[in-house]
Formats: sequence, C-alpha cells, structure tokens
Amino acid sequence: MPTYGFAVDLRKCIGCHACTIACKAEHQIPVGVNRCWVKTVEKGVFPETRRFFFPVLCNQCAEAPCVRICPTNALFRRRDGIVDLNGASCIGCRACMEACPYDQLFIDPNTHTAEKCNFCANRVENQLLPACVSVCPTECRVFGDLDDPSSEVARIFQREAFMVRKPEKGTGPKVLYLGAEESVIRPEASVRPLYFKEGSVHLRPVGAPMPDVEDPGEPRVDYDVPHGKPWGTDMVLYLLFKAISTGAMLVAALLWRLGIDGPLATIAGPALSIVFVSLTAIVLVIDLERPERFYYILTRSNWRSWMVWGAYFLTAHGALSAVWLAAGWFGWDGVLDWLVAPAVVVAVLATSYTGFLFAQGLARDLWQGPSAAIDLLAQSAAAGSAALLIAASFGGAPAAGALPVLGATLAIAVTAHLLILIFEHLLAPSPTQHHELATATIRTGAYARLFWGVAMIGGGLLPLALLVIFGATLHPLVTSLAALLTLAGGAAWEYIWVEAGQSVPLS
Amino acid sequence: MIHNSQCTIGKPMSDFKSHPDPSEWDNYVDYESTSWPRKERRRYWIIPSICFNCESACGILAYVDQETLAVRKIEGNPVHPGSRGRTCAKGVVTPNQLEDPDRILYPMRRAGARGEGTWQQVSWNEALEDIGGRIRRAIVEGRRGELMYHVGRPGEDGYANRVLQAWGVDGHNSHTNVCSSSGRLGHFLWCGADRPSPDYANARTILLLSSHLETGHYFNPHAQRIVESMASGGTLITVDPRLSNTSAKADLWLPAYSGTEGALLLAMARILLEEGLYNREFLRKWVNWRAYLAALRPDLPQEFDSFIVALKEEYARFTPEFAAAETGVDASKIVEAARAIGRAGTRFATHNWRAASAGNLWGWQITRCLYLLVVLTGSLGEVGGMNMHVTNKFVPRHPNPPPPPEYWNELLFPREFPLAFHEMSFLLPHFLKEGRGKLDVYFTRVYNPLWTNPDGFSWMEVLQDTEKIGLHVALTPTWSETAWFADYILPMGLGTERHDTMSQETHAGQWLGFRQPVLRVAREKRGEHVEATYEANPGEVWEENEFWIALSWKIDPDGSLGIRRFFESPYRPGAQVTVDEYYRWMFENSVPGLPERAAKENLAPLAYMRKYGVFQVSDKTYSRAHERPLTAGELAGTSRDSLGETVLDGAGAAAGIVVDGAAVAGFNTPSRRLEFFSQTMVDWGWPEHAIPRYVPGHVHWRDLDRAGGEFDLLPNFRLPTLIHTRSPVKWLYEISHSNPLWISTADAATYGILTGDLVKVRTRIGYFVTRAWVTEGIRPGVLGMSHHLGRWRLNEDRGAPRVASALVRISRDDRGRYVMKQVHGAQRFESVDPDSGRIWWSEVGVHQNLTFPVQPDPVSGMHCWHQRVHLEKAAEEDSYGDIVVDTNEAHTAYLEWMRGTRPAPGPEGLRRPLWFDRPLRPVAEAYKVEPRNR
Repeated sequence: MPTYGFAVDLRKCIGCHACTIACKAEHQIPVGVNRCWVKTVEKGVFPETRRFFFPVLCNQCAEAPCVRICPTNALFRRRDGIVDLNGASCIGCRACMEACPYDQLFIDPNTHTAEKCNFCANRVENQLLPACVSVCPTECRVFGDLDDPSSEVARIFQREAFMVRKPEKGTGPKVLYLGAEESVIRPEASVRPLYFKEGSVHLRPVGAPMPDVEDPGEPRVDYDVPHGKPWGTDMVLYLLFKAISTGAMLVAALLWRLGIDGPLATIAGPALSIVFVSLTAIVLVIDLERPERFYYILTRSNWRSWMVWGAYFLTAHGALSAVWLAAGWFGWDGVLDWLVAPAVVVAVLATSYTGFLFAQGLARDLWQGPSAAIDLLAQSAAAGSAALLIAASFGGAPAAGALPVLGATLAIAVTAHLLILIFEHLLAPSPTQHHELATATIRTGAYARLFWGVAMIGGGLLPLALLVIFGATLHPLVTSLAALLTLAGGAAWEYIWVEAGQSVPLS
Repeated sequence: MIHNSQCTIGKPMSDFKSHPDPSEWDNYVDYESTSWPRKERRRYWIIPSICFNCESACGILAYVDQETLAVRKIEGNPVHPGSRGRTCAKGVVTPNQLEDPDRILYPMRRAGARGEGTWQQVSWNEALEDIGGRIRRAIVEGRRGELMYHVGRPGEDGYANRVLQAWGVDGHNSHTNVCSSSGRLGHFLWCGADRPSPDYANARTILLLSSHLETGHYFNPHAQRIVESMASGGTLITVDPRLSNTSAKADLWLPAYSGTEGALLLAMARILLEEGLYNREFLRKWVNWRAYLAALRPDLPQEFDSFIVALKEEYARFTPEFAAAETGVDASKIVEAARAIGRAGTRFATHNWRAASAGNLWGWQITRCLYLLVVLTGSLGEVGGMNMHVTNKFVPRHPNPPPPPEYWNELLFPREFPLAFHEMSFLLPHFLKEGRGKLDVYFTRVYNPLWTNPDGFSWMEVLQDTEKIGLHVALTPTWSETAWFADYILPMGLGTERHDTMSQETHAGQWLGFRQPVLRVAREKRGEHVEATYEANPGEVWEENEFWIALSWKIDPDGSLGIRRFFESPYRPGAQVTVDEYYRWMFENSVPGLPERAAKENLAPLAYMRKYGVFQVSDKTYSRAHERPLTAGELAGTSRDSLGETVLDGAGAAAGIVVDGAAVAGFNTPSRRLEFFSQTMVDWGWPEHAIPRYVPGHVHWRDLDRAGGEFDLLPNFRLPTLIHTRSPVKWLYEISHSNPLWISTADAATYGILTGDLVKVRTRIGYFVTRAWVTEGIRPGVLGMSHHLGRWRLNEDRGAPRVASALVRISRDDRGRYVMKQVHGAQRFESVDPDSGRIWWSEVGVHQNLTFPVQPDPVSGMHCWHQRVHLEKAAEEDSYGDIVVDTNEAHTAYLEWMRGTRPAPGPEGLRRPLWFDRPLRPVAEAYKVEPRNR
C-alpha cells in the first residue's frame, strides 16, 4: 500500500492561484471557504523587497490530530495515508478545526459538515493527479508515493532540504516545502494587516494579536484565508453550565459526607446539577452544525476523542445526579452514602475531561497548558459553591454548618483558580511564540480589560476579599454577592480562555 | 535562477496521469467528488476547446455530464502544445462564468432611451432583420464608412476580419492602442514584425519589462517556460518600478523610474559593446549599419568597424553611473544584469508588451532600446533566443477570401497618426465630437471601452448620442458598462460555447487551436440535430460565427450586393455555409499536415480537431526566414545596388540582401535588414528618432513637484486572477476584489497615510478617492493601481455582475462635471446560486480610468497610461469610490496631445508607409491621400 505525499517547490510557485480555483472547481467549494489557497507575504526594504507565495493544503498527517479528536469517526486515515472525511458521519462539532494546527478544516456552508483537502482521493483512485497538481502552470507541486523510492516526492523526502509546517506539533506532516521562507511557513513571523493587496480581509480573528505594524521591511501577510474562531459563546456557556452542574454535585457530596444533610446537599445540589447538565447538553447540541445528528457521538464513537468520553461522563453525571436527587427526595440515606464516591469520581471526570478535550485542540497552544484539568476542577468547585450559596439565600435556613463550608470551598476554589491563572498565564514563560501571542492578548491585548477587571479582580480577588472580611457574618447578601461575582469571574475567564486561545492565526 | 540541481520540470512525476487519456474522452467515468467517499460514478464526454478569457488561447477540456449535459469542470488540455494541460485561475474558473446568475441569456433590445436601462427580449431573427437591414441601407447608400466593428480581445484569428472584408467595410477597430501599440511599433521598426516570440524555455537569461509570470500575453504558457528556464539555471531580470509577482521571483529586480527604462537598457547595451559581449557577425550580416553610417556618420569610413565605433560613441554617455542617476537603479545591478545578458549570448530572451512601453510617451523607443539588446546578442531566431511572432503563430487561410476594402476610414487611421499601431480606437469619442464622421451601426464585441479606455465619460457622452452613433450593438457574454448604452445586447458564448480558431506565439513551435461549443458537440454525440448553436447553449446564447453568417445573409439576401457569396457553402453551391463546412474546408485545405495526421487515426480533419481541439503544426520553429536564399524566380528581373549588397526589384526597392555572397530574403523591412537606422522615421517627419534612443517619458520623475504632492501614477498593471471585464466571477473576486493605491512606506509617512486610509488622487481632468496600500514594493515617488477592478452599474439588479460591481449614481455638478458616487459595493443577493448569498466583500475597487485624459503617443498612437497626479488625504466629505471628471477639460487635453502629432501625407502622398500593415488592410490605392476618402 502506498503512502501518499506531496511537495511544493516554492521557488517555482508564482502565486497565480490556479490551484485554489482548480480545487474549488473539482470539489465545488462554496464562496468563503477553501481547501487550499496561496498565502502571500511581502518582506524587505525597497529595493530589496520580495514577495513570497505559500500554497497551503492539508498535510495528511501521519498522526492526524483531527482524526484523533473527531468524535464520530467522520475523519479517518486511509490505508494510503490520506486523511479523508465522511460527511455523512459528521455532526459539525468543529473540534477538528481546533485540532488542526494548519487551519485546513472548515464547515461547508452547503452541507454544514466539515470539509478538508484529501489529496483529491477521488482522482487518486482513478490514477489521476490531484486537481491542484494537474493545473499548476509551473509544476511546482509534486504528488506521489513516499514509499516508492523512484518517485519524485520520495526523492525530495530523502535528498532535499525541505521544511514542513509546524514540525514541533509532532503530527508527521506529509506536505514538504522546498525553498520555504520563515515568514511564510511560520504564521507568527508576519504581521497581519487590516487590508490586503487586492482586497479586504475576510475573517480576522477578534483580538488577533498582530496588527498592521508599519515597520518597513517587516514581513507582512498580503493574502491569506484564515478561518474565524470555530468555537464561540456556546462553548463558554457549556463551560459555565458544566462547572455549575458538576460543582453543585461535588459540593453537595461534600456536604453530605460532612454530615451536613440539609436540602442543599440532598435536593438543591443535585437539582442544580441536573438543570445545568441538561443546559450543558442543550448548548452542546445546539452548537452542532448538524444538531439532528447529535446521537452519532454515542453510536459512532471514536474512543480516542475526549469529546466522546465527555459525552459518556456527562451522561453518567446526569444519571447519578438524578439518582442522588431521588434518594435525597425519598430520604434513602444509605443510597446517598453509597453514591458519594461514584458521584464525586464521575463529577470530577465530567469536569476535567474538558481540559483534555481542549488539549486535543492541538492548534491552540494556550489550551495545551498542563493545569487546565485542575483549573477546571477549581472553577467547578467555585461555581458549585457559588450556585449553592445563592440557592441557600432563597431556601430559608440551611442546615447548620452548610454556609461556612460553602464559603470555605468557594474561597479555597477561587484562590486555587487565581493561583493557577497567575502561575500558568502570567508567570510561567510561554513555551511557544504562538502561546506567547495568545497570553499577550490576555495580559495586555484585546482581553486585558476583561481579564484584569473581571476574571482576576472583580470576579476573583473581590469575592475573596468579601468572604475574608465579611464571611464570618454569613449574611446572605454578602455570600450571594460573592457567589455572583465568582460566577461572573468564572464566566469571564472561560470566555477569555476560549477566545484568546483561538486568536492566533494558524496559517 | 532557481538554485536547484535537481530540476523537476518535465519529468514524469509518478504513475499518475495529469489528465484522462484522450482514448477515454468519449466516455470518461469519474467519481463525483461532492459525494465522496461514497463512490458515485458519473459519465462524461471530455470535449476540448480553447479558453476565451485572455489571448493566450490555452487549451481546455470541458467535462460534459452525459446525463445532465452540465459542464462539470474545466481542465487544461494536455494535448495542447502551448499550454500543455495547464491553465491559470481564469481558465479553470470558466464554469463560474457559464453559471453566472447575472449573465445575459437572451437577445435584448433597448425599450426606453439609450442608457435608461429598460430592455425587452427579442428573437434572434428580429435582431438580425433590423441590424441587417440597417447595414444593407448603409452599404447601398454608399455609407460603408459609418459601419464599425470594435473588438476588444479578438480571441480568434481572422474570422471577423473576413466578414468585414466581405462587406467591403474598412471598419475594424481594436483595443490595441490602449494595450500594445508602442510595444509593437518599436519591434516592427526593427524587424518588420510587430511582436516577438521569445524561446524562454531554452533561454539562459531572460529580461522582462513585463510581468509574464503573472499576466499578459501569454501568461500561462510563458510562465511555464520562464520557470523552466529558471529551474535549469537561467537568470531572470525584471525592470518595473513596482514589485510585480514576476519581479518577486526575479534574480535581479531593477525598479527604474518609469519612463527611464531606455537609459537603463542603453547602459546595458553600452556594457555589451564596451566589454565585447556582442555578436559581431550577426550585426555585420543583418543590421543596416551602412544606411546608418551614410545618414548620420558620413565622417567615418563606411565600413563595419566604424559602426561599432559609432555605436560606442552614440551611447557613450550611458555609463552605469549615468543610468543609475537617471533610473534610480544601483549601477552595480545594471552591470550585473548586462553581464548576465552578455553571458547568455544568443540564449537571451526578452519581452515588454505593455508595462513601460505602454505607460510612457515614446514608449516605442523603450521597445527599440530593448530590441537593441536582442540584436547585439544576436539571439534572433536562436534556440533560447527571440523569434518573431509570425514564425510561431499559425493562422490558416479561411475559405473563399474576399477582396480587401477599397477605401480608407479616417475614423480609424486619421492623418495625424500615419505610423500608429493600430486604429486610434480610444480617440473615437473625440473624433465623433469633432464631427470627423458618424457611425450608423457600431458593434462593440467583447469590448468595454467606456470602462477599459481612458476618459470613459467622453465615451458615455457619445454612446448616449444617437446622432453620432445610430445603432449600437453590443456582442458580449456578460453585462458591461458599455453594453448598458447599447441598442441591442446580443449574448455571445464563452470559451465552451462557440467556434473559433486561434493560435499564438507561445513558444518555439506552432499550433492551431479549435474552440467549440461543447454542449452542441455533446448533443450531436447523443445523435441530436442542432441547427444553431444557441439551441444548445444556455438560454439563447449564440456564437459569432453563425451570427455573422446569418447577418450577412440578411444584408444581402439575394446576393445582389456580392456579399452573400462569401457566406455560401464550399460544398453545397448557393446554400448558406454551416460552421461545420467552414472549418471542414479550413482544416482540409489550409493546415499543413493535419489531413495526414487525422488520416492516421482514421478521422476526417474536422473530426480530428473536434476530438483533440488542437493540432501541432510544428514542434520546433525558429525565425530563420531572413536566411532563406532567394529563388531563381524571385531573383528574376532584380538587380544589385552599387555595393552589391542589396537585391533591388524592378522598382528599385529592396527585395533581398546579399550576405557573404548569397542572396537571401532578409527581413520584412524596407532595407530587408534589421533597421537600427529607420529611414521611415526620417521620411515621416521624425528624424530625431531615426535610431533607438533614450527619451524620458511624459511623467518624468525629475519634473515632478514632489514637495507639492505630485506623483507618477502607474495605473496599468494587472493581476494574475483577473482580466478586464470578462472575469467578474465569484471565485476570482473572493481572492482579488479591490485595487488599493500602492504607495511606498516613505511617501505614506510623509503624508501620514496608513494602509486602508482614504486618499484622493487628482488627475488633469478630475479625481478619484480610494484606499491606500502602503508597501515597500514600489519605488518612492511612484503610485501604483491595478486597472482590473472598479466595475460599476447604474441599476440595482443589472448592468454589471453584482458580485463584482458597485451600484453608483452619476450626476453633474454646478460646473458641469460628472460626479460618480457609490451607493453601495458588492452585496449579497438571492439567486439560484447559494453563493450569491455568501458575498463577504463589499469594496470592489475604484474605476480610475474615468479620470484619465487621452494621451496619444504622436507616433505609435499608444495611449500613454502613466498619469501625473496629485495625492492628498481624503477630506471628511469624500467617500470611497468618489469620482469627479470634467469632460470639457478632457477634450482640451486631447487637443493638446494632438498638437504633438506630425500628420500625413508622407512621401508619395501616402497616409501610411506601405510596409506598415493594418489588421484589416485595404487596397494599396487607399494608402494614398488622394483620391479622397469616401
């Protein structure tokens, strides 16, 4: 079985865009999206100026992160190494777009499923070269079998000084570039203007950290087709709702375990958990491009995808919350005793898996941080405590000792969350320039006001201070205010985490 | 040069084919990509044709679905020797054009006032009756001079010309003078052919004053071969004040101030001379050095060595240092470039076409200076060198050729421009305003002068004036600004919807391409009978071939005018010729080798062309006609001049030359030699331009008041993704949809301009407002703006493709000036194509040409595109796309430029030298000023 590879001799590329259009024609690609395109960068000071052309297409990675994250096995690796996509299985979760470090996936506005370059597998099976190769006026594109030593692409792979895009991602890209210049192959190396050489910029991620720096000679992108942010507010709501749900359950279990057996632990906690896990599910389904296919995640599960595990964790978490509520309602204390351990374990899993899921979003360096799973737990505990504190203020006199425990968990959780933010996003050196650019948007860029004003101070230090100074009074006004501020701070951070992570161009 | 020892071009890549084999074309089974990975099989006829989007004539393959008869996609035709299976973006985008929701599908006649924008659908027969009747009346009443066919890019060879000839009409007008006149004249003066055919693939050094890696004739075929040269170690040098994509690939980019290119080239020539890098034998044999010495250096011994001495003296002042000071290019780079040319020897290829020569007054002198390098290296006709286009372009004889027109149309070739290449097309509105004539029937054919030419508002004025233009018929595949002011809009087919033959000088070979209406061909493959191509095309889109035949029969239904006979079948006497018969005759009788080649495959010649879409006449052809020994027949009745070096015919004109004792044909110049010295220029009133020399252009950087905001605007560069008005389709526009003003970082800083800021650019006759694009890719002092964008329409729903045009309002201000305001840019709209609802761009460029006065070069007639402009930041009240123009001032500017001309008659009372050809040449008698023009 062959292993197909591709090489682009950039020295021969004249930036004519024939490949782009041939691809569009072959695959009927709608306006606004591309399987392949030619990025252009201008560099140098007159008269030593140069323009570089950089055709991008799918790398058909040996370790394809899109295949790993795809929950329904819609993305798959063929035996010939081509990473292909079966639209019939795609639910449109856009996770693949977060996983691909090369910005090579998009949602087809006709089918509302993901789409990507597949080396024209439909042509390859007819022994035809991919459309972009066949059309290329200067034959700068080379396609062939990497396993066949006599093929041109194998020769290049063995003998030539080629480069690949983002080798540090460890994906095993199979598109080799000859004569690549750093400013084109590394997206972080060029500034991004608000206006291109031949027109306006289609999608410029909000908060993109690289404005049009009028510094003569600095590499600047003249043309590119970056994608917008695949994940938006729905993911923020998902994070918030899920944190409340799992947190409520965790804190309820804690209260029960501590013997504080009032309705907060037996009714309010599980009820909140059920309500918010349901909301989580609703948000997740609505967020799909093909919501009617949501159940594919359970029927066509890809067990390498944390999204699939998450679906099961959330289902289990919802089920345990329901059992907990029933037991609490009917006073089956023995059942509750027995449920504590599984409920906690499942809630922790349902909380933390998201850290691993986001980390499977290999494109986003910000999400690769080591402490996301732990931070999610802290956020969850804070959100759960906050939710129960608010519930307590409505529900008359809570069981003795409940409020101090909730106050304490809130304070501890917020403290932990803040410490993680400070260590991971403010103090720790960025491992990559991409990461640095993302954190810069948080520290000083587009998200700085929200970060400092709400995530750190208003929704972090302020509730903490309230609890420390006035916590002893356990006045519902104080606890509710602190709880609300905490939820706001948590939501703000979740928004920043989702958005800032996606603000760095990938191509 | 691509520093790669392992060149990959030309090597088979793998076991994969680039295209289905021709043996499969009649029933190709393909997997439908949109339902992949489900394996849905579709059956196609793969039918070859020729692209209709620029003049390169690249071969294309149309995949016609056997079930739905839809054109699924377009690919390159691998059999085509010029394009070799590859196309540019504009070729593969053809399906966008076919399915454009805004294309015109039915013939339409104006319902209201001209330009009002109300139309009614008519039948083809109604249109033919009306137009044909009108033309008949003009012919019968002796008003042939009021008939005119104005073509943009022809996209075919000889068919329409033959039609006009059959009508006896000297009415062929073209777009050449806004395109390539100065490129042509400079070339023609040297060698008697008006354009080159470089053998890029084999060149060692390529010098481009053009941008053939991205645009131009013949972008795709030429780019392939330029890169081929680079991949095998060739050196690419470009001269362009702007960093074109081509310059970005060059080993040496020489951004000379525009209009100073001549100095740069002469400095290179001087280095070749001083360093002995010239081809002495070639010069001695082929250049008319003797005429030069006799006329301008009688002081020197009249021998070849004196010529070298004189050349050195002539160009002595063009030291690298002088050229550096004049052009702004480093002296060391000029030397490096010259030596690369010298090193290449005869493997030196070059081109200019538009760019510098089209941009500047005396641009044809830039061409001559450039060609001096060709002559010095002796690369003419050599492998890796320079051919003449006539060597590589193959135009077959059409059946039944009519005689040439018998009169001279001064609306086309007025006396002021006896040496123009060619028709003074862009001055037509001014000629009509001056009352030099009027037009009864005016065809614009795939031509949008209102938009493409300078001074569009003057065009609008005469197009609206029914006294000046009686009937305006627009033959066009799509809406255009000009068609809006037509009386008839007749939809004509695109590259897969029409018949034509076409050939171009793409390389050192010869081929003939055949365009065909693929849906008609497909229907005929299904066994259906198709009477007229519009029955098979979308809507009632027709093709010109059949249209002209039908129209000619309407003009002369009974044959009494002697016109009909040229449109009768060569096989069925007296019957109307069919397109099949027309090309059958051509392919059987005037394409050498085709009948034999077809017979090998048991095919008739026409069937062969329908199957392959192209025939290679020769795979290797170099310009060696000048070395051809004269035959005994040709020598009969000739004599020799006193030196025994020139063969004279009975009338005493040169009929050949004697080279080292042998009488050979020489070149198609009056002296039969390469004319360094042009007696024609002397005779026609331009003695100061007798030889190639450096004359700064009309916007010379030294004359600009830089502190006062004056700049040189370079408005004539193109984009690889677009051609003028035929490419406004979705996939191209999402890549390129705007033409911001290139301004250097240094200049931008002076004016506090950032990328995206609105700026106002004032020309002599008005101004426009657009956005700035700040770059290090342009010489300070020069502004650049692509002329491929800025389409507009006057009606919300029609008038120009909505994907690509702004809705505008045109009004007059209190000073009578035209004021154009954009109402909105491109917007989403509802159509059968869901992509219409996905248009995300809005600004679609600014139509700068409206603000340019006409600037005809007094010799070549070229519109000198560069503009002296004043730049300022836009004011509060200015909006993107604002345009203001004073057409009275435009006419004044026209008159001023006209004052620079030196009118005919020339020697012997001629309007034009007899050796200067015309696209549609009338009888020789018509070249004389008397008898009077009729």
